[in-house]
Amino acid sequence: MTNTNLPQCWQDYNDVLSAGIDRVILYGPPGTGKTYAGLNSGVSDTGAWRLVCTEDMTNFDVTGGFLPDRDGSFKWNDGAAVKAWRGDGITGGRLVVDEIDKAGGDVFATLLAMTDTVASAKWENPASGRIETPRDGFTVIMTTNIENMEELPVALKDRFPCAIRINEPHPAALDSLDMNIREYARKMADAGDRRISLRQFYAYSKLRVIHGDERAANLIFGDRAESFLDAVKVDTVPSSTI
Amino acid sequence: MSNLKTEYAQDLRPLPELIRRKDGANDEPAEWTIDPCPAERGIPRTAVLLKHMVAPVQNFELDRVIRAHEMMHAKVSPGDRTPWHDRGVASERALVSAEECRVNFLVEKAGFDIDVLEDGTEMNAGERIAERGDWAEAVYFMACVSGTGGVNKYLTGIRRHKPGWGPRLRRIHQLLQKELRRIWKQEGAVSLTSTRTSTGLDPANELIEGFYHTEAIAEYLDRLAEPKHSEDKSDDDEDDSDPEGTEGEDGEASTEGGAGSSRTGSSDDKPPISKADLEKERPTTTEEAGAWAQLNVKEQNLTRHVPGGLGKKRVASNMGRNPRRMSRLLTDPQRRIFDRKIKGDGGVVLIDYSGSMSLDTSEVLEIMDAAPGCTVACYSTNDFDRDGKPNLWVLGARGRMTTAIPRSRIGNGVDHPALVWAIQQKQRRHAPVVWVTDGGVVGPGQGYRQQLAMQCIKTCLKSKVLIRNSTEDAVELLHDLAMRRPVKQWWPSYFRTTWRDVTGGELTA
Repeated sequence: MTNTNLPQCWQDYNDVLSAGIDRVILYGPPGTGKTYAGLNSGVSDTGAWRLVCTEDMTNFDVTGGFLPDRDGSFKWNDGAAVKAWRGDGITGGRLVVDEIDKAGGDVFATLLAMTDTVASAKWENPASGRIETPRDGFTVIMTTNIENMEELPVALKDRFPCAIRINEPHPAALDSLDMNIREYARKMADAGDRRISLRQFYAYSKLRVIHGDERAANLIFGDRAESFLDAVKVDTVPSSTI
Repeated sequence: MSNLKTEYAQDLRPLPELIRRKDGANDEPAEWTIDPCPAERGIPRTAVLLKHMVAPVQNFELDRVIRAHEMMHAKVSPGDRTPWHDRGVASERALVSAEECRVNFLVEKAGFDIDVLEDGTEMNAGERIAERGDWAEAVYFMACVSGTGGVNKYLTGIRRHKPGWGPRLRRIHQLLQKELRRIWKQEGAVSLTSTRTSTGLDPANELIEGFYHTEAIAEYLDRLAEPKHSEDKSDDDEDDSDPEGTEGEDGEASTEGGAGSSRTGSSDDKPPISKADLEKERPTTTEEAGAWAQLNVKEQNLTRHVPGGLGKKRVASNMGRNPRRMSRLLTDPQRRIFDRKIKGDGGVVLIDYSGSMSLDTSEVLEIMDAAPGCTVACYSTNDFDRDGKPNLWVLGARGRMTTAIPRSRIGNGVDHPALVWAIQQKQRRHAPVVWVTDGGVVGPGQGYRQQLAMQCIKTCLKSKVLIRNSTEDAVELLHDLAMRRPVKQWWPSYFRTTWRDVTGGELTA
């Protein structure tokens, strides 16, 4: 798919990455492929590491920590951020941070340090005393479902100058759906409280093959099944043979 | 025992987010606001551009069909009707009624049972309209309920006060359905529902293809609603048998009407349109529809002073400074020996400067000389002129005229917008508007279209525009106006033919 065929949000994403922007926030409704794009799109051979932030997570996931070894000693295990910094030893990797707004205070502070500019970022490994810095090519993609970027802390926004709202699924993610429901899946991805997720459409697409439209809609969309089927009836009226 | 199961309310709000359109109005994924309302006529509505729908959400079949109706509006109706209204082909009320008719037809085609589409107010509406004797509203309302389960109740209401209107309105309902079926079969379902526009980028200002059908039906309804020029008074009015064999319903209703009717069979029950006239009228088809270019007005340098004014004259007066009519001292009992000037009404002269008129500069100047004190303009174009290129030039205004006559751009393109502009330039209410044209009105890059011609004819009739097709006739007319002689309307053969084809009647002088 050429860049010009892509929806605007995905074009924007490709453009900022190809221009060398290495800190990007992707935000918007869930189920549009933000994390998938972070892990796969524009990633070098070095690879990508993912962090899913929760209130209970610790810095172990970010920078690393000691784990008991077989011989009764403790061995240091690197966290996702340090692995991404290091990459393949020559080129830095991609760090994908999901739901950073859900991280607790200390983890958040560590993440700020780990996502700082290359010149400022520095971290000392407590096990080896080695000073780690991000290798060239290290990039960070942060994803969140927050709609209002003002809700993000100033320090975080400062580190991520580019924020792109992803309001529709990537066309590649729609390819596995039946042709006649792809557009519906695209349009319902950003319908606020009334949205129907891409995953529901995947399930509907599979079920209808075996059980037919009505049964599949009832199973997947529940009380909204009638509204969904009526909308499809109205939408397809020009091709109706009635 | 918990009764949570039974209390659990279904979310039956429609999903207009799913609707696909070609004009870009619902292209971006976005949430619609759905407000519930009772299932009553006039309350549910849909605003495509604002993504707002008001629809009943209860679990009844009527509610479901109303939801489908509103969804169909979201599917096929224009985001903004203003550009259609501005075209002036049909009235706003007619556009609304015709669109209801088209949408109901499409809802049925989508597989919904629109026989249930009645809210019980149709009979009252029919009674109220008939009691007022409002034929126009009777026609428009007929279009609104056409095809739904409310038709018979509406006609029953009508017959309570105007028994004679029933068969004619039923026939209008049948003709509307017949026309929609014709479009569906001959021009295709896609044509009737299309929201395609020229660019697909500006849903607020671009015209969608499918609504051309609505506009054509609306214009037809306007003609039926105000059959002013019905010359051909038919003598077969007595025979109101239904041509499509639905007499049973009429018969049944007349019994019902008899029970409640206060004036059955009275002479003013006669519908304003005769049966023969109704059968002669027909909607224009989309091949006959067209569009005008954008009007771009340029005022030439008005360097030449032209004394006088159309219709300006001196009359005798009994007061003044210079006695000019001394003989009246003896002959006039009121001794009106002075002069008093009566201002002329002014006037507007619009010249069709297209190639078919073959006017040269000297002929334009000759017309201008015969129209002192008038606003004179000529128009011609050859494309849509979206770039602002002038296509109407003001050659004279406020007692001054130009000597620089522009070159013709061969095509017409803006006949009706220019005509409307000319009417707006009238200095006084009774100022005459003279249109020098051969009647070959065409949009840019199009052939002669009856819809566009009808638009011009209706505007001429409404504003009493005087038409002439040659320089000599125009000059003669202007001289007659200057002398305040009575003048007659004249119609070019294009207009006469179009009027005959569309209405079945004759344009008279």
